Order: sequence, then C-alpha cells, then structure tokens
Amino acid sequence: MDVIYPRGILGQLVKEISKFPGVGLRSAERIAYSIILSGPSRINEFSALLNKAKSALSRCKLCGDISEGEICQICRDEKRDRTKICVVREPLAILSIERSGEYRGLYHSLDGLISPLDGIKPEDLRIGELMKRIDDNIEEVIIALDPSVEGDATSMYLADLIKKRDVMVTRLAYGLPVGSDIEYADATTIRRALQGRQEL
Amino acid sequence: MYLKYLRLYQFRNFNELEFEPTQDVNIIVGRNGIGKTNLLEAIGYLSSLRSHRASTDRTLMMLGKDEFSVRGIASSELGNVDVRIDYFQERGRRVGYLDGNRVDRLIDMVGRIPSVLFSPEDLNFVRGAPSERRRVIDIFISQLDREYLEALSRYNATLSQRNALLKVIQSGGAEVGQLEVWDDGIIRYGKEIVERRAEWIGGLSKVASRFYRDVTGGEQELNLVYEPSLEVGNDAGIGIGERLNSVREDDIRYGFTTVGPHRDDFKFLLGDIRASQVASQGQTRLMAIAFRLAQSKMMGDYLGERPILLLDDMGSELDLTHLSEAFRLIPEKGQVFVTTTREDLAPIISGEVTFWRFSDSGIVEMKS
Repeated sequence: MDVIYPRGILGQLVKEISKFPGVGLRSAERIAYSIILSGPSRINEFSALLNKAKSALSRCKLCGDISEGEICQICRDEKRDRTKICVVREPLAILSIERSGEYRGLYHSLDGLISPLDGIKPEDLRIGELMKRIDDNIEEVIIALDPSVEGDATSMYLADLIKKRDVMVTRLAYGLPVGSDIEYADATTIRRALQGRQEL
Repeated sequence: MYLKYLRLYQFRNFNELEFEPTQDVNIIVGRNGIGKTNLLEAIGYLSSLRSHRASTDRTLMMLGKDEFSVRGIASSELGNVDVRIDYFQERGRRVGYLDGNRVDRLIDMVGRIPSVLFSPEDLNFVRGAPSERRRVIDIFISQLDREYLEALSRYNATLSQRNALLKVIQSGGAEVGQLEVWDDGIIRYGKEIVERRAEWIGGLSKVASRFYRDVTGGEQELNLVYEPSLEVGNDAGIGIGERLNSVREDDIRYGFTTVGPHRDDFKFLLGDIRASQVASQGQTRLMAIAFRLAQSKMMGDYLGERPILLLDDMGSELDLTHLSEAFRLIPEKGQVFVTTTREDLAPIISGEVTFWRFSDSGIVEMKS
C-alpha cells in the first residue's frame, strides 16, 4: 500500500503546514482540510490576525523574547529580581519556566546551541549580549539549556566565561520526574538525581 | 520471551510481510536470495535498532521507497511488548513506538526483545577489521546495559561534533581552545564506555572459553582480550584527558579524533597467539559460535530467560555438526529462528519444530 498525498494546491498547503515544529503529516492534513472547509470569514480573520501579529511583535532588544515593543514586559518589570538571569536556548523555553511560577529573575535567549556540525559557532549565539548584561549587577546566572551534548558543551563554554567575571553560575538540576514512581526511572536519571541530591 | 508477531513494511525485499512464528523452533526454508537473512536482520533490528551488517538505516529500505517500518510483538510471563520503528528518508529520522505510544528517545526501545544472531559472516569478527568487532560488542552490550547505551550514544554525538570542529580549526575557522568543551564529553563518556567494555568482554571471555573447551575437547584455550584505544587507569579521567591533549596536533592535522573508544579493538587468542594468525576456517567458525553462545548464556543469566536465537543460513555439514554440539550446551528452552536452503535440519535442534517457506502471500507453514 502506497501513501497517498493530496495533490496540487491542497498538497502544497499540507506540506507547508507540516513544516511547523511538532506537526506531522496527519495533523497537517487535518489542519489544511479544516481551514479550507471553514467559512471565508474565519479564513480572513485568521490571516488578518497572522499579519497583525507578525507586524506588532518583534524580539526584545535585551533578552530576545517575543515582545510587543522594543523591550519586553519581563525586562521592564521593576518588581523582578534583577540580580539573576536565566539562560535559555530559545524564547519558547521562557514560557515553560514562567509557567512554573518558581522564578522571578530575568531571562536571556541564546538563540541556539554551539554545534560545529551545523556550523554554529559561539560567536553566532547571543553570548556577547549576555556578557554585557551580566556586567550590569548580575549576581547569579542560571543555565537552563537542554541536557543534550550540545547543551552541555554550550553550558560549559558559558560557565568558563562567566566565572572569569566572578559571578555565580548554576545549572538546573537533573532529577526524577514529579508524579512518577521511582522504580520507573531509568538508571541514568536516578544516578544524576543522586549526584544532585539535597539536604533535608 | 518469544516473538509472536512480526510485520515488515518496505523493509529490504519485503513490501509488506506479516509473520506469526511459534514459540519453539522455526525453520525457514528457501532458496538463496529470497530474503531469509533480511528476515532475521529485521528481528535483530527490533532488538538493538541496528542492523548486524548495514551501517545506515537507509540501506534497509526497499529500493525506490521513502520509508520503512518494522514491528514486533513479543510475549513473556510479564505480558506483551510491542516495538515498532518507522524510518522516514525525507527527514532522515526514525520514530519509535513502544506498546503503541510514541517514545521520546529511541534508546528506550533497545533490548526490549533481546536476541543473538549466529551468521556465516561471524567469521568477520574473529578475523576482520576492528569495526566489525566493535559493532558486535556494541549490539550485545547495548541490549543489556542501559547506561552503556546512554554513554555510547552521547559519546558518538560528542565525537561527531568534535570531528566537525577539528575540520573547522584545520581551515583556520575556529580557535583550538574551543575543543575543550567537547573534550570534556569525550573524556566523561569515553571513560564509562571503556570501563563497561572491559567488564562485559571479561565476562564473555570466561564463558566463551568454557564453551570452546567443551566443543573442541579442550585442545587450546580461547580468550578474548580487550585492547582499548585509551587506557583507564586509577586516575582514569585524568589519563584520558592527558592522552587526548597529547594527540591534539595530530587530530587537527587529520581533521578527526585519533584516539578513543571508537578506535577500540579486542582480539581472539588461541593459547597465547592471535587467532587470526593461527586458526583454520573450522577453528574460526567454532570460535565465533563459542562467542555467540557466550552472548546467549550471559544474556540469559542477566535477563532471567534465554534471548531469541537467530541462526542464519545454516547449511553446511560443518555447521550442522557444530551446531548440534552447540545446542547440547544451551539446553534451556527458548525461541529459535533458523534459515536454511535444506529441509533436513530438524534433528539437530531439540524442541517442537515448525517448517516455513516463503510464498506470494508471505510466510506459510510447510506441511510434510
């Protein structure tokens, strides 16, 4: 049995939608069919909203998050702890950390990780901007990058630079997933959780 | 544990194939070129997510297609396990499903349906290049040792990055100091790989040596000796780091990492002499069989039940004699797949034997 793809313009639409992260072929088909089968007013409103969002939103000059205006809400908020800065790979991660409600400091998106395979060098990342911000009374830098080898290498690179400035560098702990039983955790997770154990 | 259902889609020469083997001995009879080895390769792929002979997934895909899928359902006292791997050429990636749920990390699927494959090409790991031996040992350890697999996967990712950076440095596009963040991964994961290989190969050597003695009547002693590219001493981490530093200029000149577990080897010794220098064809075959039996025995001891045995292309008189000897040494019950061109294999293997053959509609039972 061969896979049947939609042809022509419909196929083009499906293909374009499937380029978005996390959208597989099946989901792309559902979305494309739903768009075309919905009324013309909904399509017009949606495409107007897309255009409006794209022109109203840009990157925050400081942290790199998506912002309505030059500086984002978080960077402008005087009530936030301006001695701490949390380094993330991309703006989307800021949303996840904000949802936790645990952190009240500032953020900085690197816009990537060091990866020679993809031709991404340290100077391609927003590291220079980060160092300038650190010199502005930052006391702690919290590194919250992916636990991949690229994330680890980038963290190490940053830690070396930041320590030279006599600023504390921390990294998010690896640990057991909340809400699951310990016997289901794999050995690597348990080992890392043990290494990062805390005194009660 | 036994495989009760196998489905191949656009895998090698199979456009679509479903197979429901028995839990004892399955003998698959067919002429050369019909895909017998491909079938066993697929079962081995379910165990380790690697082929025993192809180094890229793309090779496993049917010609002219752009995806393939392998799915197996195995049954044990603990219940069923359903492993499915889909490969998509366009994205160059694989998607895995465990019991119907998509997994975040493919390595979570390795070793769920453990197997050991005996192949005529096994002569290659006794006599051939070190890369063959590393492949065999990695496939074996990975099915049993989750932390080894984790370290190996991170080591390989780090190695690719380091090699890419070495080429950039070579052409003057980056500073040498940038190697440090990758050296750290090479040292950390490399040390773990070396320690675990030493342990597993040491264990295999003892068991394989016993099997070889039993099969041959004890003329010469078989030993496996691990030859790591980097020695792990007492201050292991420091040792590897120093060694890596000392070859840095070479690495930059060649544009790749010249030392590390990706250059490891282990040798087969008969007495004190390297097997590749002394062994006859028959002896080499016996060493390979003893080595595979040792894998099966260790996996059985470790997992609490015998892995699925895959015996590819068992045809020659030599194989038949040796294998009947060999099977006397692993009397535990378990599922076996045998491929052959002959129909007279049954007597060598104990257990309930079912003969199968390929037909247009798939694999069908042969009624005698």
